[in-house]
Amino acid sequence: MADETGAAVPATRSRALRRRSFLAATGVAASFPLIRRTAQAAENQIILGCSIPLSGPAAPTGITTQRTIDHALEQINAKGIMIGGAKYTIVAQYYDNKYIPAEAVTVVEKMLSDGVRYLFSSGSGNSVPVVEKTTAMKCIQLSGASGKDHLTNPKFPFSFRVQPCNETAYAVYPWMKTTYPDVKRIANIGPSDEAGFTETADRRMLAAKYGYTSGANEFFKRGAMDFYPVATRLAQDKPDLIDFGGTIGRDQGLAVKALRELGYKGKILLGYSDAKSFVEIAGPDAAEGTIMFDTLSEPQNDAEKQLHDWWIAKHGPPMPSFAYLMWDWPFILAQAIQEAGTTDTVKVADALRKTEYHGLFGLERFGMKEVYGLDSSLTRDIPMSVIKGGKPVPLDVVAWPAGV
Amino acid sequence: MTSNRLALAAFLVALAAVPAFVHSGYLLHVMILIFLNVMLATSMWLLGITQLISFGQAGFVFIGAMTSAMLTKDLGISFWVALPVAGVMSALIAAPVGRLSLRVRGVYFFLVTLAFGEVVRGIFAYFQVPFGGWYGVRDIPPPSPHWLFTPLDKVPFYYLGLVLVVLTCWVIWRISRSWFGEVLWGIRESELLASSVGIDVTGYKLVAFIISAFVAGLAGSFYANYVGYISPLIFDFTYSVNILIFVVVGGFGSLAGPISGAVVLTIIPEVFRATGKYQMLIFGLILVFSMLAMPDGITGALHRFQLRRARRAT
Amino acid sequence: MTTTFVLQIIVTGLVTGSIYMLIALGVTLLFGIMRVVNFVHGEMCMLSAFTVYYVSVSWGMPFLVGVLAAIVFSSVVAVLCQKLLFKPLNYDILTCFILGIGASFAIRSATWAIVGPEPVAIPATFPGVFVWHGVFVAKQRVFAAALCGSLAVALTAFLHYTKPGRAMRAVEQDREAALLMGINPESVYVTVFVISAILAAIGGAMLGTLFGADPEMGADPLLKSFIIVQIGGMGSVLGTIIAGLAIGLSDSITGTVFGGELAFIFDFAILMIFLIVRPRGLFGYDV
Repeated sequence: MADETGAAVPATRSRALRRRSFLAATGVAASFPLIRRTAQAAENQIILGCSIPLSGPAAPTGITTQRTIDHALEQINAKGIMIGGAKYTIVAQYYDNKYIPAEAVTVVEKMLSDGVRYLFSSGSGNSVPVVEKTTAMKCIQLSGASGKDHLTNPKFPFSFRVQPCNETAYAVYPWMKTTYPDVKRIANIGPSDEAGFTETADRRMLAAKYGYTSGANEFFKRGAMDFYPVATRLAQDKPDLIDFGGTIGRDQGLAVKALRELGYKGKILLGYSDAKSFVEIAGPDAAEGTIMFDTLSEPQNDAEKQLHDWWIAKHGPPMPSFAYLMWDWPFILAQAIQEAGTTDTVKVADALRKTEYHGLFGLERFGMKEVYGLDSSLTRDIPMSVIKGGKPVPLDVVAWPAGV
Repeated sequence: MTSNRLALAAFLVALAAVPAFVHSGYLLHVMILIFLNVMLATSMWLLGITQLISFGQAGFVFIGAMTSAMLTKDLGISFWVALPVAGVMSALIAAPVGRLSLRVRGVYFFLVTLAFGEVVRGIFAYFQVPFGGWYGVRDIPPPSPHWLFTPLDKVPFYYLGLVLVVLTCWVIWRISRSWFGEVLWGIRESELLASSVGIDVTGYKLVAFIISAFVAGLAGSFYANYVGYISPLIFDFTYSVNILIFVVVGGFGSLAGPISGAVVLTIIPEVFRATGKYQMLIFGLILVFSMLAMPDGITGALHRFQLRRARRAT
Repeated sequence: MTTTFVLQIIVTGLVTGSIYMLIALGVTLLFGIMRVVNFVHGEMCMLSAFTVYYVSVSWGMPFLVGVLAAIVFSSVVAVLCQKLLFKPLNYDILTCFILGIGASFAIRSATWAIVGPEPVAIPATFPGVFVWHGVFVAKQRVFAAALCGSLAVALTAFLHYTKPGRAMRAVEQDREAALLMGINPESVYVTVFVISAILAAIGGAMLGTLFGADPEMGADPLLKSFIIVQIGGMGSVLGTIIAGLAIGLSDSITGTVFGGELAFIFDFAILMIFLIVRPRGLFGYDV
């Protein structure tokens, strides 16, 4: 049998070659556990694994989250969490899930087998596929993600949603009825993945509940560049307002830009936004008048002002409004662990459910039992902003509705 | 000859004993990924003997995965039935696709297979019902018996993967050494000569294409019921390219090529996962350097090294 | 389905198609003349977009300077690729392919590391929108289309009426005969790389003004280019022009009428059909 150079190869040589290749490969495989080194938890340390998008179109959200968590943990660890006389600190370990579900699954596998029992996961597509595993391992999963009963469910007692996402609509839609009475027809746009489907489904359901008619329902591939096809269909539909639901990052700016270029004159509602980036990408003209839900554009109280000043000093202006949303939950977690008096996740989960925390947005607690069957989704005030003159300005603060 | 057999046997025993010493779920998970990638690389290698490169392997893996997912999840059929059916489904689709694709040669064949892979992906992505759309299919059940295969314990999956990969490698090795394989090598040497001797070159290529699709389907089925989640975002063009890279970096000369390529190139990104944003950079650079330094792949380089030593000895 | 709607779709399609056509022209030259698939082509678009951003937006120079900088940078990258990567491997299709992929991964990652994850936008040189009988087209898009169109014409002229252009076509048709005629293939190769780099640079700059710059932006145009080149015929400039516009149009139609996902399948289905029914493409040489 000839080899690739055409020379005749003696049979024994080629077999010896194969054997050596096997051995070489095994050698590499065997060395793998030695190369791999992850910080194991030291004494009195609680590892918080973070699966967030640090690259890809959702990266700005991820980076902001990382910076915010780091600062929050600094403050938490300064005082520490006292359990049985010993002082515990929380240490964050970050992994980039690139907002790709398959990556998120691998990342969480890694964390779980490293013994991590506290997990923060960002993005629906990243949080939903892993919730069964985390529940089975009794790992507390705190998700900053859109979700319904496949993430928030009595089946998953360790899964908590630390950010009202699609749930904001429960507060925002009734508020819109009184604030913008001439809006009658709402169209929806969202990315064609878990987050998008969840958000759009919930929002259309709530729109019907509050007496709106629903218009076009469009989905796009997350990370797409040319929004003209989708925007043309939406503009054609001529709704009064387009709810962007689960659309985040660059997709927002490009979609709004396309919509305005194609002559859409109605209102636009979106959230999870980094206003600066949004205005840059859409262009100040297109961004003008965009209503932003769950977005705090200017500090309204001392705590918010402190955070704002810290960010400007450390990272420079402007302050991404998303950071405010990510600030409170580490403190809520710390408080729950403190109240439980143990790092045992079963007890901490119970404590989390009962924790009442006074944060940036007033009273914050895990609720929504009426909707999901158990209290697992954070409820709090929802700040609203609007873009004026290329900048986000405060519009209103919507209190969380009773009975939800 | 016996020493070689002994080495191989020792190697297999070592592999079988791994779960006794390694308890980390993550490490076992990586080993299982290696098994998967070895299966795919060897199937690509078999096809590659005839100088055909398919950039649509991901499509066949996806077909196998989706078949298995739908059978086990929606229809409640046992995984052990779904597994071969997945392979057969991929093979069935490979037949007409292969026949059509083989009408063109060289670079054009690459493109047809690339297009095919994307079309498969697009179809599964567009039709949410029943294929799950971009979001994919979740909650694919693990194989029965359920007391053995749970989402928590990797060990049974490890052995399943080990059995599958050993079987696959053995079968492909036997095929490559059989008369069928000799014909394939002959086609590689000179298609003109082969066809002038009366060999139906296209027919042989087609069979190789179908076999490699079958293996891809099996791998896909295993993936689906192991990971429990499949989506069009996974089985894209990059996935096919990765498989190809295993083979090219490993070397075409013998079966050891794709195997070593798959092992090395599955481990490297995992080793560098902790480096975060530099992970892809390092992977890309390794690829570039290995192509420049070792165009024949790892096995080719080892081989040239051996030849040089032998020549110096004489 | 009003006339305005239909006209809107057509105009949008032609305009976007012209940008992809320009990028594909770079690919067809490389493919046709050197039988090389240069995966780094997509990254050259991306690097150009970033160069324009840094030069024109961060440093405040005029847009034209930014584009020129992008052209220079792109050409340098292309020549480096040619000398360091492709030539040593003798332009072997498969290894060059893998090499290109590795290089493109590395370039993408390096760019991430350097520019960071924030998406970047390049303000339009011509802000505002043309409205004509209810059909809206952003002025920037019209500018991009006009630029790409004129460059395509210029390229055709170059290939037919200038000496280096004719040398390229000679090498493409028959390399040995060209050698006999005294044409140095090596210098032709370098010229081809540089020209394709220029095309990628301008295409990338245009994409940047429309969609912003991001390290992953090169992947899509590259794949589209393959489709366009195959349908038009490898090495055929006219084929690429027609196919580019056609793909733009078909994307717009399928995307707007049926929703974005279908456009994706449709492109590749068309590719498959062409490959099977007419592998040489519209105007390519016999396979």
